[in-house]
Amino acid sequence: MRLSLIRHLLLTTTLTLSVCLPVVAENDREHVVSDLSYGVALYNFFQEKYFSAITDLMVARERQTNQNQPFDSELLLGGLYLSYDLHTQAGKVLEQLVQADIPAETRDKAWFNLAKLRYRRGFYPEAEKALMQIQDGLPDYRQAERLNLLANIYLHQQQYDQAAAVLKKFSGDSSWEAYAHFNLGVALIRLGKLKEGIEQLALVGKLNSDSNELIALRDKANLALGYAYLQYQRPEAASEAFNRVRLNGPLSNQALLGVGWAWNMQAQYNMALLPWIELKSRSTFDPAVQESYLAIPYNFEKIAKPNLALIYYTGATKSYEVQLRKLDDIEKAINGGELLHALKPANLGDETALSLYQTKLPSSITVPYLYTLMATHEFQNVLENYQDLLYLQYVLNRWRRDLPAYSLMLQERRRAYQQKLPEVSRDTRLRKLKQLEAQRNKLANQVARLEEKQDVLALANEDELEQISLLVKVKQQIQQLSKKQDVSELRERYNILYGLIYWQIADDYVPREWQLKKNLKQLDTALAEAQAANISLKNAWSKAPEAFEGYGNRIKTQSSRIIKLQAGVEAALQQQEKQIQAIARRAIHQQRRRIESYLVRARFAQARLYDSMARAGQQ
Amino acid sequence: MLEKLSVRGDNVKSLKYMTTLLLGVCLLMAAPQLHAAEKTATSQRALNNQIQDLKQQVLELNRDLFLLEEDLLFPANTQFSVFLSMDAGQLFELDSVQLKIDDKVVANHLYTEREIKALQRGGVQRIYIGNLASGKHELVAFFTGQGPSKRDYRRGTTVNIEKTTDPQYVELKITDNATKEQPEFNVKVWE
Repeated sequence: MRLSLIRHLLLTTTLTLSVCLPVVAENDREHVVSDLSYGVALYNFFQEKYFSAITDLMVARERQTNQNQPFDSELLLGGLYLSYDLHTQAGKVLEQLVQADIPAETRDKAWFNLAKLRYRRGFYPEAEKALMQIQDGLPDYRQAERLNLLANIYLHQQQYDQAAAVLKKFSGDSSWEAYAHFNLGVALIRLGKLKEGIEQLALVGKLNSDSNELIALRDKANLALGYAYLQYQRPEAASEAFNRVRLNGPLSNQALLGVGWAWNMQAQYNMALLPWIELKSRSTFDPAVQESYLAIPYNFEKIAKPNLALIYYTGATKSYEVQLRKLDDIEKAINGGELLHALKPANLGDETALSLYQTKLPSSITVPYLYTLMATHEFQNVLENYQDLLYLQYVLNRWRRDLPAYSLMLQERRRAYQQKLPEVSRDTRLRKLKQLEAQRNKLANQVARLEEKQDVLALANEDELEQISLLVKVKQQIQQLSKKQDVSELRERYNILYGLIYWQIADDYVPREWQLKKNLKQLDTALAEAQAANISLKNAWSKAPEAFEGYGNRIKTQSSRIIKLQAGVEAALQQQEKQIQAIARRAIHQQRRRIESYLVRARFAQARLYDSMARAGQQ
Repeated sequence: MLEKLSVRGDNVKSLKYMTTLLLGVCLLMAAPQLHAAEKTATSQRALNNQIQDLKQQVLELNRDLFLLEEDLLFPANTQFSVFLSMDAGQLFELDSVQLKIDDKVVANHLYTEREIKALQRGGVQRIYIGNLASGKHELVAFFTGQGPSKRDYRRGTTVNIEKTTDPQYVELKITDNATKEQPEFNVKVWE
């Protein structure tokens, strides 16, 4: 039956969207930062700047700045390689990690990433084995993702019973569960197990959610469900499912077409016309709309209105002819590079450009015709490659632009060094350090002597020294006077004053001695710093020519690497551009063939109707 | 043929005919399409491998150039970096940060929503890397944004630094003080 073919076609379109995965952000504050380099990599990772984040971690490895949390860094690196589609590197890092002596929680996460990697590479039994290694170290919100992955692994191995059993293990509210039911439902229907498939899809089709993502999945499930019911000869149930698809959503056209066929199947031809006439007013490059151009007159024929049918077939023919001309223009635009231009991010240095296209399509005359194609995994893959290559090209161009400036800077430094070398060699400050060292040693000897002899007066302060010097003079005068008169009283007073000062200093001896030693220690520290700076300076100056040479060689080596890689990236870019254009052309050719087949059928129907009308007139 | 397709004739028969016709067209369409698709998929697989190899090579080159750039522009003995992190960040919506070292503006950053989310999830931003001579310096950071009750908020934090001949890392951390219901701006000097 014609219906079954259309249903089959639309159903296939719907079902090819599996296996679906939700866009789930990682739980907030999952990561603890003990190394700044790890935190910086996370900052880029959270912004989906995988290239920058990987570079951060590679630099941290080289500089050994990831010593506080090396396993977290490696786990993140493995995940980043996975996200950046560097599967070999991801495998190396994660395989090493699971073998290492690491905390159970980190090992479980590593096994989980390894399972995801093996799944993506199509190694399903190995992916299952990796999942089985996980104990209880995964955070709760990851458990649902783990179950979804396990269910998908079973689906790919056509172990539907196991997949269904996994779905029963979901607990709580999780978008992963909805995706798992959807994927299993689609797989079962594709396998011909309509009843079981419908059961799974019905669970998603009646979801109550505010999440845009889940509402979109619900639409998809209802669309698939509707066509499955049609295939199962249950048009009422099909109508119900189609009616649950949002009228303003991206799948509404296919749903309207389906509603029409559901009415048609119930021989409610007038009712079938309602959604199809609504469809006819919509964008003509949608396959469901194109289909409605034929479905409407087909329905008119059913209700014995051949004149109306003829008018609509004629309209359909004209519309298809216009569409075919448009497709010619679109193909010319693709060949002329219009699509490639549209796919290039405005800012080539923006690493996050690709993820933006996941929510907003680029502005282009070709894109509306490639809407279905752009949602496919194949196209997303080539688009991702293309934009990755553009970013690599940008990075290489930037380095190539910057390196000459570094060479120039190096030349300037070398010149400045040669100019300053004689000046520095003559600098008296460098020699003064030795004098200062000699002075310090002299001072240290004095302190040692003082300590040994317990020379109290050596610790006198300035006032006390002045008083002592005055007393010395007084003593001399007393001695001179003693020749002429009795000075016993004066001598006694002198002795009292001298004793007083001595006692005053002796009483404060310990703190004064401690202060003296402290000062000496500070002097030692300052001298050590000056010596270190001096050595560093001398080293820098003596090693400068060697360093200049080393930097010069590094710049030279990297420059040739840049040039070589630029050529490689350029060649890959050209190949990728050709691939994108080939895929786009293939999609346009498919559309062309479909419209051509519709056109043939519309013309046949027109001829048939003219013929039957003519025969009716003759009779 | 037209007779066979007459709607007034056997409807079922005509529908079957149409279906066969359409199916035939589709199968004819599908054959060359499948061939072309397989061909494209094979060459895309080879290209994917080539691209993976290029990505890894450019990453390694980028790492080496990054190290070279750092060695050349910010030698270890003068290197000074400032980082910014956020703990929770519920009481303060960050708009921009300005950094001054010794009263000279060295960095200004206006945040995007994506960057704020990355900070809130635990990412650390390196906001400045430069050179500082050994000795004492003053670092001042101005944070602008919206504080509690969505009111405009501007705060400055000052820290005195003793730069040695080792690379120095300073982390500015925005935290929520739940008791005071106010954001706090802390500074940590990494050893």
